[in-house]
Amino acid sequence: MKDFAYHTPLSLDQALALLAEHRGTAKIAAGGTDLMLQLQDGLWAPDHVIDVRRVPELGVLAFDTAAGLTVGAATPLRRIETSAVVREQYPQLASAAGEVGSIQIRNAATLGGNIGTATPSGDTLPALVSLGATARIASARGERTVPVEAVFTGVRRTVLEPDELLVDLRIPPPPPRSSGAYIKLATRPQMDLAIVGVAATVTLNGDTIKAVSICLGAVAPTPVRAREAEAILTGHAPTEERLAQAGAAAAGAARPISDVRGSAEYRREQCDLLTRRAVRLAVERAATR
Amino acid sequence: MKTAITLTINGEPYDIIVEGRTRLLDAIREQCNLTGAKEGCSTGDCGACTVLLDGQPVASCMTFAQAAQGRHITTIEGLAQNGTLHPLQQAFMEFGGLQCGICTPGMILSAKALLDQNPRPTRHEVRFHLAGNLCRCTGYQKIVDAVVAASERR
Repeated sequence: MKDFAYHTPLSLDQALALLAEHRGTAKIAAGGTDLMLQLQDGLWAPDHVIDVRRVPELGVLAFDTAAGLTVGAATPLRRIETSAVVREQYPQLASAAGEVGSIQIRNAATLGGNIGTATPSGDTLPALVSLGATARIASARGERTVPVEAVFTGVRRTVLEPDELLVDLRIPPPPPRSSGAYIKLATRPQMDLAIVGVAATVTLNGDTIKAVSICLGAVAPTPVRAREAEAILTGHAPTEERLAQAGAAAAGAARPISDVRGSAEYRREQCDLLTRRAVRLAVERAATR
Repeated sequence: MKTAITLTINGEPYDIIVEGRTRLLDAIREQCNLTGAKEGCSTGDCGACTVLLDGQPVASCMTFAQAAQGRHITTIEGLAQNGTLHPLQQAFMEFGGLQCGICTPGMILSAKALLDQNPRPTRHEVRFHLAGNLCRCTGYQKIVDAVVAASERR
């Protein structure tokens, strides 16, 4: 690994100034768990690494019923996983955060890193998309807000410019009778990448599904919404027959590859089954809210 | 770029010189001469390099040394007090929770973090909290036995 200068800015302005000054030759470090691997593999050879964990805006975890949830991009996943308010209000996000790596990794790893690395199988990504999360992105040139769903442009590719920093994620307050689930298929209970990951966020109206958002992970270059499955479920009671139709549609939305973790055919079949399970669990939780 | 930093390990300050790319694992082992933390995989998968940062387990092979400045680092060397073994160390010995010992420093530190937060974990909780620490020798049963036994003695 080529050596670099290690910076620890104490403010957002300082961090953005460093990114502007060293644009193109700097990488951002939050938990550093993905970055360390990328540097060891020679994917990047920066002259500067900017550790953003002391920037206050990146470490927030705040909820209120009006604004919803604000999570700083450098908040450790372990904190999100164990937060009582996230577990109650956004169980799909708490579950997803808890599925990444091991406790050791989660004590360092962050949402910002999971998004910035943008692998197809990133566990937090489908949960964030299904929740309608938006990303606040800043640079010395200004600030912009991008729906998380629009952040990913391909395998390990995002809309972030080299001088931009992901500051925080905002998730709207859950409507009444709304909740969600994230289900991950993997060989081991921890320390494994997803073979398939499905997040579902559901809002009920009586016994019918008023709104549903289903996002699939690890089955396309980026997280992908299962919009046809959503349309099948919206306005209807989640009967097993409806769920089966939605599952089949979700499988159709997947564009998986065959690799060491599973064949494309197996992944499509698991999309079907996991979509049904995720929606069932989301409905069960939503009914208690 | 060489920089002078201070790492606080087991309550003691260590003034060392590191590069930007220096990993915490290497700083601890080679500059602080605390060789309990082991390099097992270099990819954050095995847990042999586990140390506690402000009481929480992290993979020191995946942490830059400079990132650990200003935080409290605990290594296995910091567990025994005045020659008295920590209950976890004692239990691992009594219950056969180790064979070759390579995973043991990391395993015990992960277990310590668990017991400090949850003094009476179930066996399931123990396994969950040790899921980031791999052992090639014991088959884990006696490790779980040791952690549960240590929890019952506190």
